[in-house]
Amino acid sequence: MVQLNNFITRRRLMVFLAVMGPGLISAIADNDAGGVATYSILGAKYGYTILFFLLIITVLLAITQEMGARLTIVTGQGLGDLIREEYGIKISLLIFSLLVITNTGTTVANLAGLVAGYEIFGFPKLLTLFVTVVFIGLFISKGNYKINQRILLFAGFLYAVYIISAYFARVDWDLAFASLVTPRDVPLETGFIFGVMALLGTTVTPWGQFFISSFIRDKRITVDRLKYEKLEVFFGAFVTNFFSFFMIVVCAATLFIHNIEINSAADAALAIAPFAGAFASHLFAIGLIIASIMGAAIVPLTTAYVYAEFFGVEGGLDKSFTESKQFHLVFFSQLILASLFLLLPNFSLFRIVLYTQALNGALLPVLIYYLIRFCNDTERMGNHVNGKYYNYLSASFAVVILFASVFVIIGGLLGKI
Amino acid sequence: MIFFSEIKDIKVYTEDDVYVGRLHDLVFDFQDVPRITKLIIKSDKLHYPRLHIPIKYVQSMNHQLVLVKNYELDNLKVNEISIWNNIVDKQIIDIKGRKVVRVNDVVLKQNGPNNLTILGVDTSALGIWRWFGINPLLKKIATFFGIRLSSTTLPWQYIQPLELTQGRVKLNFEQEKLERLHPEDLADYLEVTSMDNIVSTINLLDLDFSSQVIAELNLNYQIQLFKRIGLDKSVAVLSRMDPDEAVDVLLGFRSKTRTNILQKMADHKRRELEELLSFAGSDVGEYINSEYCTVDVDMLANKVIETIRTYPRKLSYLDYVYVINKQGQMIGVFNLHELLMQPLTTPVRKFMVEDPINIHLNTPLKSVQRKLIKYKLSALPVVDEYKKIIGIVTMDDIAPKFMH
Repeated sequence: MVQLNNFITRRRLMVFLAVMGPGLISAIADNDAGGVATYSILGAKYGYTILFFLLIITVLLAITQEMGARLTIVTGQGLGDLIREEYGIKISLLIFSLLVITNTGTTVANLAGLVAGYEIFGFPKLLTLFVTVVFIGLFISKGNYKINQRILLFAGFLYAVYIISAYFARVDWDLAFASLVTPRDVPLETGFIFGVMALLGTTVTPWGQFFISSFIRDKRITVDRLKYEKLEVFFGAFVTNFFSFFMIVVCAATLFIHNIEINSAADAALAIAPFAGAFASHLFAIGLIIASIMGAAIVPLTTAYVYAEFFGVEGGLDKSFTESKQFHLVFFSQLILASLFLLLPNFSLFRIVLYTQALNGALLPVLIYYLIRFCNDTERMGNHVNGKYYNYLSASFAVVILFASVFVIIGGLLGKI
Repeated sequence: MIFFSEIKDIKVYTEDDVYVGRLHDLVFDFQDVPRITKLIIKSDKLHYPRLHIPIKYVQSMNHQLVLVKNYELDNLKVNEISIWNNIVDKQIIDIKGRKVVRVNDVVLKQNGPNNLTILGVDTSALGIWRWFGINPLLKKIATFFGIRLSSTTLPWQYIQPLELTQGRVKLNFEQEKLERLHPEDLADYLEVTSMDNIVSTINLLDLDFSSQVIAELNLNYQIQLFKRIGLDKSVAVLSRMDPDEAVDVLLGFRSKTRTNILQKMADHKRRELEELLSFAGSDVGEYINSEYCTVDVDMLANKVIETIRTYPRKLSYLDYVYVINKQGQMIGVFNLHELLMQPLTTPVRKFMVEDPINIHLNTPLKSVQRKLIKYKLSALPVVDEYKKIIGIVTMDDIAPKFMH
């Protein structure tokens, strides 16, 4: 009997491992260069206090990603497919154009984070940019789904460098855990609210919604594995914010305590050196580089996926270049376009990030609305529609996200972040 | 030819100017010829949002749709499918289940006020921009840069109607074939559908491609088809076809039609066809082909290659080059392989085969066949009594005769 139980558990574990990938990767990728920067800046500015909001963000991320994952597994179609078929070409084209703009902006931000990360180690800008873009291009176009998924998962677990970094930062663990579960000394000022909203905005993104859906479609996970995929999505949301926790505490234990203000993730990596040591600082920079590479690979990939879905051409990691030319061309052109933007002489990263965030903020509530609508469509979802309470929860979160988006836009315009 | 995007949401009135609503969708019968059977009209009256009206009540359709005064409503049957619901924006997949593109628009043909049929689906980017009404502008801009924009249409024949009822727009061949669709395949396919289908498909294709497709159809279809596509198009297509095939078609027409067509052709083409037609009474004449290449006996090998390369006409067949002397008599032959093996400065007389096998206009077909097989040739030159070459008969052309 014990043996049989063992066998069943083992089998379940195997299924889980087979399903594992999309949920973890898309959740972790939400902590791209922009995410790392936001966490570092807020950690440095508000210290441990910000940790409490991590829990809320974890639930939010989990719920939105779960809806996208379930939708795709049950219908076999990506979010883009469904939008085109339900709302027609006009809406699709509008959403696609907005997504191209925001994704280009996000890719630029990631490449900028990458260059900044490498500069800490003294590598030249042009060379690192070139090598990374070629590397990303090769691994997306040459590799198949399985290999790419492994590389991305591996990269995801490299975020563990933040844990090691935290070990050197002499963190006040009691305070950290206490702040995580109870709100402590929340400063009731506009800057703080804007900060929390920005945190939401960098974690739950329009491209993230499309990516999880398309990446699962590309993996062709079937309905009988739905429960495992849900589990993985929740696990992914947890792991992501588990890493975020360490990013924040590193900055809280060093920069916040000593009242040092920073403006970017690279600043953070440099600034923690005097307090946590060169090793921790370097690990922090490596974390930033990994986050940037993941973002720079996944965001253009999302654009290509969405293009393929909206316009109905073949597109996937298992397809060769000749089988899905347009898919690959969209991917490469976005990556190259973003690199060129970065090399522009009067390039202002701040501006690009600001506009991108504003547009993302406008797009996200619309996508969440579509998600909720599709997830309540009995014709498509059968008995996998949202439950009543799930709907209340997701709808209220959609409202929160809507507010967050508005806040981010206003905050950006007023220069509060 | 009209596009669905152009009539979607046009206003619908009755003949005495009572506003009914806007055209929302078209229901069609997906059997052999996809004919529109009902209109779905979006009404403003909230308690009756969708009106289903049989197409027979339509009086006219232009910028607005006019119904007869006493139209009646109908109900939708369970399995009826419609353009907006089942086709537009749907994914097109090929026979192997690979995604090809999405349906951007639907092409319709108006055969009368209440007779609409579906010709095919528009898959091009123009099909997208048409919904925004900016195609005229785009075309103007493109013309300014010297580019001609045209939409690509998938003829309805490529779509498996039964799959439509299951919510899939599935093609009956592979994606690669769509890109370089062979005229032979299309012709084979068309031959098993109705004449209506053939005519509508041919109208969708560009002239060069449609000529190739028509050339592959069997003769009966060709003759029927030419009677339906009109004189001008017939002339254009026949001029593009292989001369001996064009002659076959022309022989199927009454002599008056034949003269009409010939008169409209370019001079050199007309003379060529008239000459071939004059051989038509004899045995060999029916199969004779004027696409052959001759060179002078004193030419050097490199000059021959040069001649072939710059030959003014496109030859659909070239295996042998015939050699003629100063008097224009055929005295030798060589094939392309022999030519390629020569040093470039060798004169033709050094490597040609003398006294080539030949036939005359009155050679019985049986012996033509025997000669082709016995000497393992793929073509025989036809000469007149002065040994002047007047054409060739190829294995390709004559083989079908012996297969039946």
